[in-house]
Amino acid sequence: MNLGRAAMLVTLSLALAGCMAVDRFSSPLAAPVPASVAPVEPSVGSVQQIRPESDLAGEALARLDRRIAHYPQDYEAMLLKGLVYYESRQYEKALAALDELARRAPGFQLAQMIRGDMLLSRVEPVTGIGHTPLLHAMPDSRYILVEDLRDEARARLQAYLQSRNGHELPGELLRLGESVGAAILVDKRVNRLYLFGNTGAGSPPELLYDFYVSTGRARGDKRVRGDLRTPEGVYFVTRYTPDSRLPEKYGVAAFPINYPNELDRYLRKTGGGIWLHGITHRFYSRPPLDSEGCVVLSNTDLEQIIPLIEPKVTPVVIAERLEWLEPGVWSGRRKEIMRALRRWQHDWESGDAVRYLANYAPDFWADGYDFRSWSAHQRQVLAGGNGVRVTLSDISLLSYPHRADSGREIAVADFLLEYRSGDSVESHRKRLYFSKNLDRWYVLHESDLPQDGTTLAGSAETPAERRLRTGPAGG
Amino acid sequence: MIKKIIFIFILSQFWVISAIAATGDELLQAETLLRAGDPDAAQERISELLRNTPDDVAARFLQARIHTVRGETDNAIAGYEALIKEHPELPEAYNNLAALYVRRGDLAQARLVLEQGLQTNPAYATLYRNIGAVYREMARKSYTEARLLKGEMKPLELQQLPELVASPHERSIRR
Repeated sequence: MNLGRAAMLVTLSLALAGCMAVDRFSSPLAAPVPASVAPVEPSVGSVQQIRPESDLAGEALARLDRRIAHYPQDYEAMLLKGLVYYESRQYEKALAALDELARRAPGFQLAQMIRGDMLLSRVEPVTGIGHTPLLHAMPDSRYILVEDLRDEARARLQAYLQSRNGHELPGELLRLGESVGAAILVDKRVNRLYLFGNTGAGSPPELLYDFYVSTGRARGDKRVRGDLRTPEGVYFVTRYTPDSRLPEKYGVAAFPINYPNELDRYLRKTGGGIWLHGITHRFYSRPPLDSEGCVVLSNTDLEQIIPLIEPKVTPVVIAERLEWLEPGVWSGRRKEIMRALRRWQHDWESGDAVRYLANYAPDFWADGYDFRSWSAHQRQVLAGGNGVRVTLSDISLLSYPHRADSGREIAVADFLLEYRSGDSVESHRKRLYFSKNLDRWYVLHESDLPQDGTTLAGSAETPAERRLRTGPAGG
Repeated sequence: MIKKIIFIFILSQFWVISAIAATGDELLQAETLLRAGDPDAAQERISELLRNTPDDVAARFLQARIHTVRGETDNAIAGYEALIKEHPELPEAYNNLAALYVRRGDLAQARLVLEQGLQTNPAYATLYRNIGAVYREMARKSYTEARLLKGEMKPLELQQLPELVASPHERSIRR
């Protein structure tokens, strides 16, 4: 959290959150002069110029300019610039920023409303975003629209105020395999989507984009069909449907994710059709809690990341609250789960059934197996084998977000497995769910991913034999 | 010799005074005609006057008013703009120019012109009322774009000023 920005915009966010009595002189859009007298831009050397906030405003503006340089269509950053100018009493610049934004993104309703507020604040008392005499005169049935936009403003501002220093890393994203270009993280509490790029083996992922998103109308983790909630967990994009093959209301693209995933199905969660998608071309954005469970982006933002999302590869971790860690803590967690994966690998190679099965949790399940049947099966397979070599590559490690309902920590390892036994070589994708119990990680679930399963030449096994040895295919 | 020079000087002063008197008179006539609803006759009178004294500020202001009444908006705008360029101290010219921009639907330009006008005279009530109306109209448009308000509204019309009142130029000529 950057204290500078926090201090400067604190009046704004407080007034928005309704946490304090609104006073014209501290509220975001109150003109600091009597109504009917237009405030003039402070001249050089005036009181406003030497307010300590002016340096903070300068810092905030520089930061926002960097955002815009990185992503020229960052309309949210332009809106924030307007608000920072306003807070630092540079009214003409504030209005010019909003004029420019209204020209470039006319469908950005929140920007249009704030522009209206700023204009009115020159001649009338305005006590906050959307709190103007003109809007208060609306019938209640239409005033909800103002409240929706105010919610959007609050979500965008809170995300801005709470934005990261840049050195903290997401606890949910611990490692990305070489074939995985990017990963998506969604924080439902702050209505934010983060796209992290893979910077190569060993180095932490790099934040490439940070967007406002709308999520399910109901708060909380999804449980049943129709509960209007956005699920929390580790997911993967399953498909890409472009604009041309989508109903208009989904905007420029849709990327379904694999809800209910292996764990969800085990927990008997129901429903489906959870997508990342855009919005109707008539609008720029939607209120924060507005979908039936999907994660909804503005088309402008979604277009930026379409080339970075790959079906069956790109992970999507959705959390009520993402966990941001200091790099030392982050790499500690990464090593811990990596160690658990390596131990599972080496114990399997050892051929020692007791050692190998000690990696599995008592409540382990796989397709058609529980811990008991799995143990019996693996003992049989290991007894018949003689010398296996297991190679893991393209390893992604994703940590489950902390959840209120289950106290346990869960992590997902997704990797390419190469299995050599005698002359036979086989490789396929595998997904392990690890669960932590008393400082040790155990395999909670194991499945092979059929779509990438390939059998290399030299394999003498029948599919039935392979199934017997490697466990069931699931997905 | 000196007497002759003084005489010529006095004569020249007389000429100037009588010219001003004549100007004031014709100006008054043109104003009266315009007020009586005969802009064409007012135009004739003012054309004549401007031929003799093309730099007369009050006459040029009235010319722009006549253009406005005759619906010659382009000419009226050009007239006020030229007047403001040479005499940036006339709040009435800014006010009426802004009203014409509003008529054209250019609220942003009207706002700028009124803000400039208020810098010449920060206490001019009509300019305040008008800038308030412009801000409100701009806000209403923005709220309509935000789909909060319905679009239909009768077009905004700003109050125009019939004559130069606050201008020191105008007072000196009338004196």
